[in-house]
Amino acid sequence: MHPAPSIILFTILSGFGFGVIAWVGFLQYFSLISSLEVIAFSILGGFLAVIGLISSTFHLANKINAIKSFSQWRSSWLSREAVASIVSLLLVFINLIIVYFGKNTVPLIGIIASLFSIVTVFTTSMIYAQLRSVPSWNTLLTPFIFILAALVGAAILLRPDYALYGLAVLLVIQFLFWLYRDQTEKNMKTNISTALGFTEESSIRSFDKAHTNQNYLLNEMVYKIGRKHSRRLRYLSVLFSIFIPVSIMLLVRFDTYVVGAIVSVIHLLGMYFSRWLFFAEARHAVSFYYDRS
Amino acid sequence: MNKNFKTEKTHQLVAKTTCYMCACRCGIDVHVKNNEVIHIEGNRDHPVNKGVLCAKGSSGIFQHKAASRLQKPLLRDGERGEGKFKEISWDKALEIAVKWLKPIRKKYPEKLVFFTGRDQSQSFTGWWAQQFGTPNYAAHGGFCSVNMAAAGIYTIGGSFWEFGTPDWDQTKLLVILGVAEDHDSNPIKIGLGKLKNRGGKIVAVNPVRTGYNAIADQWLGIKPGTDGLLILSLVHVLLNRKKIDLEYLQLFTNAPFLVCVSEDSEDNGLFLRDKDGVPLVVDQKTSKLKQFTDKTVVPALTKPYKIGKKSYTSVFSLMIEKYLDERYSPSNVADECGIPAATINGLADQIADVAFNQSIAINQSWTDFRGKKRDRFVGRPVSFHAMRGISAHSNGFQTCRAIHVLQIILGTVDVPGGFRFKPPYPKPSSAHPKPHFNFGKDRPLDGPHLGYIAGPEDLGYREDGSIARIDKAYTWENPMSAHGLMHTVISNCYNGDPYKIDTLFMYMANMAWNSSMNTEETIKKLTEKNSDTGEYIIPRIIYSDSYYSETVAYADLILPDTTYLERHDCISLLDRPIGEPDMVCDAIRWPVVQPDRDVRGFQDVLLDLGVKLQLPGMIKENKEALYESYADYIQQHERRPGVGPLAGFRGKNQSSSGRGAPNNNQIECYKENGGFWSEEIPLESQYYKPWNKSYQKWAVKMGLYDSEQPFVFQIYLEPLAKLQTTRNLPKHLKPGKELEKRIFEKMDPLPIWWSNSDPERAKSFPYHAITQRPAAMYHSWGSQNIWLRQIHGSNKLFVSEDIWAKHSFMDGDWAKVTSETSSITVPVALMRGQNKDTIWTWNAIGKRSGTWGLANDVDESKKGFLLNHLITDLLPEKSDGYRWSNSDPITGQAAWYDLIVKIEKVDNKKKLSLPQFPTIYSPIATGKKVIK
Amino acid sequence: MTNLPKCENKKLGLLIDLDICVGCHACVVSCKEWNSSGDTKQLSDINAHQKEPIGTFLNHVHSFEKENKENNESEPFYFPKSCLHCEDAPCVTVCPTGASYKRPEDGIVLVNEEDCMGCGLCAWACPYGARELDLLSGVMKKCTLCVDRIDNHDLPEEDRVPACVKSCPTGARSFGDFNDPNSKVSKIAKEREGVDLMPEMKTKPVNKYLLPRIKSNFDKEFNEEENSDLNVSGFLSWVDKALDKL
Ligand SMILES: Nc1nc2c(c(=O)[nH]1)N[C@H]1C(S)=C(S)[C@@H](COP(=O)(O)OP(=O)(O)OC[C@H]3O[C@@H](n4cnc5c(=O)[nH]c(N)nc54)[C@H](O)[C@@H]3O)O[C@H]1N2
Ligand SMILES: Nc1nc2c(c(=O)[nH]1)N[C@H]1C(S)=C(S)[C@@H](COP(=O)(O)OP(=O)(O)OC[C@H]3O[C@@H](n4cnc5c(=O)[nH]c(N)nc54)[C@H](O)[C@@H]3O)O[C@H]1N2
Ligand code: SF4
Ligand code: SF4
Ligand code: SF4
Ligand code: SF4
Ligand code: SF4
Ligand SMILES: [Mo]
Repeated sequence: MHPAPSIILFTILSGFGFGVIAWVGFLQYFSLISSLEVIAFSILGGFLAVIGLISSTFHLANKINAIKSFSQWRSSWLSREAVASIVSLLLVFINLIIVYFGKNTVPLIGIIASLFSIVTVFTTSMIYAQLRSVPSWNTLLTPFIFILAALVGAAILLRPDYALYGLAVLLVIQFLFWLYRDQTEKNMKTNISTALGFTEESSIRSFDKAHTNQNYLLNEMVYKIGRKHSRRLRYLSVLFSIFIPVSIMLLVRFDTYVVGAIVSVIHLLGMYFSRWLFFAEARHAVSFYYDRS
Repeated sequence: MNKNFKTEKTHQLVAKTTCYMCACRCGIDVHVKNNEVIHIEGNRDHPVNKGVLCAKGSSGIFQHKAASRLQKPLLRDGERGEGKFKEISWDKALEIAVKWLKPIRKKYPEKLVFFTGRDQSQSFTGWWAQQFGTPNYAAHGGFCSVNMAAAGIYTIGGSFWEFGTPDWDQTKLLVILGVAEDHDSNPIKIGLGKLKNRGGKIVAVNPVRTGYNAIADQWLGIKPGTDGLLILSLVHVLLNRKKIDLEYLQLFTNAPFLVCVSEDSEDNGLFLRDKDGVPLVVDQKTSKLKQFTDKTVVPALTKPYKIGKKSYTSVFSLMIEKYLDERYSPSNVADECGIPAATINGLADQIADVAFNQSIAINQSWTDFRGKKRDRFVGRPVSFHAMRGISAHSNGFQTCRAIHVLQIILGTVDVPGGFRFKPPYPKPSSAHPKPHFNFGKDRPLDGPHLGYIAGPEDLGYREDGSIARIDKAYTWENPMSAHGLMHTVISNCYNGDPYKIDTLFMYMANMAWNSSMNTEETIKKLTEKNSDTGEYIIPRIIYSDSYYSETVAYADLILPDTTYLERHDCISLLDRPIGEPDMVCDAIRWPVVQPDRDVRGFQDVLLDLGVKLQLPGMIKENKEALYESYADYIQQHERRPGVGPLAGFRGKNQSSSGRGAPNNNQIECYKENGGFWSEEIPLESQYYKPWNKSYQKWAVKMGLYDSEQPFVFQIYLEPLAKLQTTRNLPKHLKPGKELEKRIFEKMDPLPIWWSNSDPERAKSFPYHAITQRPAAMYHSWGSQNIWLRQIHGSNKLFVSEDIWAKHSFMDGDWAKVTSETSSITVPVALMRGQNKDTIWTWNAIGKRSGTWGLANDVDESKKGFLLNHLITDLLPEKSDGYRWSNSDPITGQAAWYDLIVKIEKVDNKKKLSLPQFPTIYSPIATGKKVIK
Repeated sequence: MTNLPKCENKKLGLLIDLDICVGCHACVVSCKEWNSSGDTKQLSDINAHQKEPIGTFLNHVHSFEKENKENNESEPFYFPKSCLHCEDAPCVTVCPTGASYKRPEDGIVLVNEEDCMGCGLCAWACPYGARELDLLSGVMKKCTLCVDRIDNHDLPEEDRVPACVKSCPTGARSFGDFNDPNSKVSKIAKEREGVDLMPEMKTKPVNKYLLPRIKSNFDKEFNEEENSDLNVSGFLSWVDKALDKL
């Protein structure tokens, strides 16, 4: 799949934002943070989520109709995401108002916002995980890694102590995901034979193109990335998203949010690589019609 | 969504006319609104396409609206080839043309050289040239498929391609040789689909397994240029197995004719004839000589005859002697053809089985030309179809003949399930005109330019022995060049050989690009100046095109034509016909929209020029125009009394067919009838047409002939034998030593095969390089079409697995391909389904930068390429010190597919195909970037 | 609603015969033409006359070659591909705006362009690449099975078929109701074992494909006995006798 920067940014930023919101609600409920922190981080989380959402609309070719995307929540994960994110943001807003007016007595709203933001990340992930057309996404690992990434990323900022464990789990899940990807790639049920309707696997190759130039399908769905390149990016991704943050956390004392913020940025950079690979390495079934081998 | 749709497209009056993007000439329904074409679809009622439409036809809107359309007459305003012009008025343009042409006609009409390329109105343009008086006229047939046409006409009075077709409804086995797309492309596709759905089988003989060949049941990946050998091997096996139709051979062919075989005799090689010139045969029963047409004769096939010292033997015996030879046994030809002996053997078996064990019959009585009544049409449901893969080789004429002889011994021509003629064919060579060369000041030529010679007496030499035509057609170098030799014209004009000319006038031929042999050299010849006078060596060039093609820049005066939807045209029985085996048809085009530019239909312009030049046939006694317009000509002109360009709706009450007085309302009748006219042939006349009395009568009634023209098939081609008998000729008409040898070797009256590549050359240039027509492109024009150029925006060189491995090619690699004269650098791709020694590419995708309304840096010009740069009109010098022409020695057909090359991998960082030509300045704007 | 209706009435679709498709692209272009001409919005083309043109097409023809394991020969074939109007169309259920829908009455999968926001998700969801986002109009385009022909009562009955079906010269494309066991398409699909593309995607395509038939092989080793091995005179005397009998 084409790794479109707008979509990668969207998933990462909104994931991080909703992660922050999730943590705020939780910490607020157990009174582990101050009202000021609640307010500041709600604004930050909400801001990032909104930036992410705005960034995702760059991807829309006909923005006028974006409003209609709330209508199909009963069947469409994208629609559910839209609804869930708006609900989460609304809840955050309400919570914010309440806290702002010093009535931090109903932390329930915060925890509901927190749950909804996790749901939002889940709906985002399901947009990808539901696609049978992209077998390497079509796994529970996808929501798992999306939610985990959101929570762990935000944790780096808000609860570095938990983040350490989170990053360890993320490492495992990330490797599992890559393993899964490589396995599905190797054992894909779909291949050029099934794509063309042949019942037994045969040696088939494309010898001439259906059109000599790119088209929407090729631009969007057929992206080739070299094996070597992929390996290097995986290393970089783990390095930035996990190893450097962990090292810093082990070496530096996290007593200001400034350090947390810097480490989060490093982490997000790593996640950018990971998400980039998530797209670039995902093979869409349509690519079989275009492959030359 | 609304259930009952009403769209503009289906609400309009449809204009029914004829497609133009190839010679198939399908019927189209053009939906028009406010002088805008909004939708084009196939005409369901049309006999040719029955509603289907190919990719080119379906994108006709962008052919019609192409950005590259010329806007106004142009006069060169820079050097030739620069592309700098100034726009002038039509009055001015015609004035200039007349100023150039008038003195030529007065003094030396041969100095006008008029060649019309992909002309679909040849009976008109030829007639115009004849009235002008120049002997130098032809269309593009000489470089296209004259081998196919001439071999067919000479042998069976018709040919594959537009002259006839496999009997798609009844054939059970089709052998298709050397065909990618062909002229009859929609009917072939319709037919292939039908045939396969009926359970019929297709055998494809082609070095490349694409398109029609891909869906064939069996594919023979032959080595290019060796089909003749394969065919004669099939003949060998069939003879050997006694699987031949003796009765057909005996009654309907010249197999029983007696050939003089006394070498010292004057008529050695010629038929034994009576005093009226009628060939004689031995009667099987009485062993006496009889005219072959005799009502009672039972022609013998084997009996020799002696008159005095002279011996005669039957064509049949000669044939047996030749083809039973072990030279033609499958195991002896297998290696040369690249086809296993078992395959040849099996194919012969299959053919024999279908022809003789699965024969069919239609119970319908008919009378043959000898007057004998027969009660049914016997059919042998094997059919053949062949095209340029056969004819574009220098042994193509003989190979085409061989295919016909194979059909003949099986008795499959014009029988149910076989190959069937489409009216106005069959028409034997003897019923065609002979070529005419007699020109003189201020008068028309003595007859039509092109035709079929019967012997050396018809060749194109003047009384003083000089060559009559600029293209040297009908000379000893290519005596049966029935379509002229367009590919030699520019060279000969440049060389002043056989004489210097004044004005080269061309129409619809991209001669400076994809239809030239060696493009670079051709461009040089068009632009070179005489160093003494500073004048161009080819003094004047007039050209008519509709679009800014590569050739426009090389002309001095441009007469911009309309598009096919803006003019009148007729698809005439006098010309290249449309038709079906059981139907005679013709059709029109008419202006379904008006031009939005200052352009005029070329035929109208020619008529105008004709009046201004006061050409006979185009003016009345008072010297004014006889025809108001080309449309008027179509309706009023009579070629012979009662016979004109269109055969339908003739006569005062517009109900006569074929013959009848001109009808002022004829075009309207055609429009009402769907743009065409057709009439069914009665069943009794539908088969065995060359020998079927009722067909012959019907054909005369229809005006196809003026008298009945029954004939027998020419297995033995006597005109070739006559060409070999040069001893009686006056000295100045003799061919000369080196040619004499070639004539003896190649002009065998029975089909033979020779190899086009000598082993020495093949050592250094081991691969065969050929092109194929892409179904979705028409030569050079397709690329201006914004839809089609997305399908074929550039081309690659497809190489076989062998070559791929040998040169360690990888995807994305480039190769340098070198012929004996030049090199090109091109991108390569692997295709496994092809002959191992063959490389190929799609034809005419490469474009010159600056042309066709395209941006200068499009892939068509930067990555696309032509093989034409590698092909030359003259072959490299041979051991005899002679540079033979790269063409068939009999017809002069350009041998595009004889090309041999070597290949090497090159590092091409720029990813630019070579050669690159400088960008031509464009007088028209580049087309729009966005179409929405 | 983007939930999928059960189409119990009719299931309209195409039957595509790979055995006779010659890869001529007529269906590709006639599709583009019908869906671009007249009052239909043009399927846009960018860089129409420039480098790297890119336009919207609803149908493509791909060229493949398949190895025949028995004789090692390569067998090229052509593969036209447009929307398969799946029964379980993932492209419909993913659509957030409700622009994508499947018509209950005949199962045709359509996009209501007025509602589409051009997110492209439906194109992602389609495993076959049957949807293309028109980059200029910003809405998703796909094969409509030419609803504006098949439902168009202005057209004569016989022309109420998709443009690609009408134009296909070989007759490799047929149109009909796969729910009706007596329709031509159902019968042929049954007889010739029409297949689904990517059955593992569980989309249950309505369109069916007929695979290339097994190629025949006429090869035959040279058999001494069959050959009369005649010399010329022997042959001529056989002919002579045969003629006497005729
Ligand atoms: N779509 C489309 N249709 C066209 C045209 C077009 O440009 N586009 N052009 C029209 C014109 S002008 C013409 S002349 C016709 C030509 O129609 P075709 O004769 O179909 O034309 P080519 O593309 O030259 O195809 C020649 C075929 O012969 C094969 N071949 C080459 N050498 C040999 C050989 O030695 N033996 C055998 N058996 N096969 C060989 C090639 O692989 C190729 O498949 O098409 C007409 N129709
Ligand atoms: N390498 C290689 N070369 C080949 C062949 C091959 O197989 N391989 N095939 C050969 C054969 S068979 C042929 S027929 C030739 C074809 O080659 P050409 O005869 O050059 O044919 P086109 O490229 O079709 O170009 C004809 C010209 O007609 C113009 N034209 C189009 N429509 C109209 C119109 O309505 N009116 C006017 N006045 N002009 C118009 C076009 O703009 C173009 O300039 O190529 C030959 N060259
Ligand atoms: S085959 Fe195609 S281009 Fe040729 S006349 Fe027919 S529709 Fe037109
Ligand atoms: S039009 Fe028919 S034959 Fe041509 S590519 Fe399409 S399906 Fe195949
Ligand atoms: S082919 Fe693709 S676009 Fe068409 S219905 Fe199936 S999934 Fe949807
Ligand atoms: S692109 Fe349009 S039709 Fe497709 S999912 Fe998005 S909104 Fe729906
Ligand atoms: S049915 Fe209509 S829209 Fe669909 S591929 Fe055919 S022509 Fe195109
Ligand atoms: Mo041609």
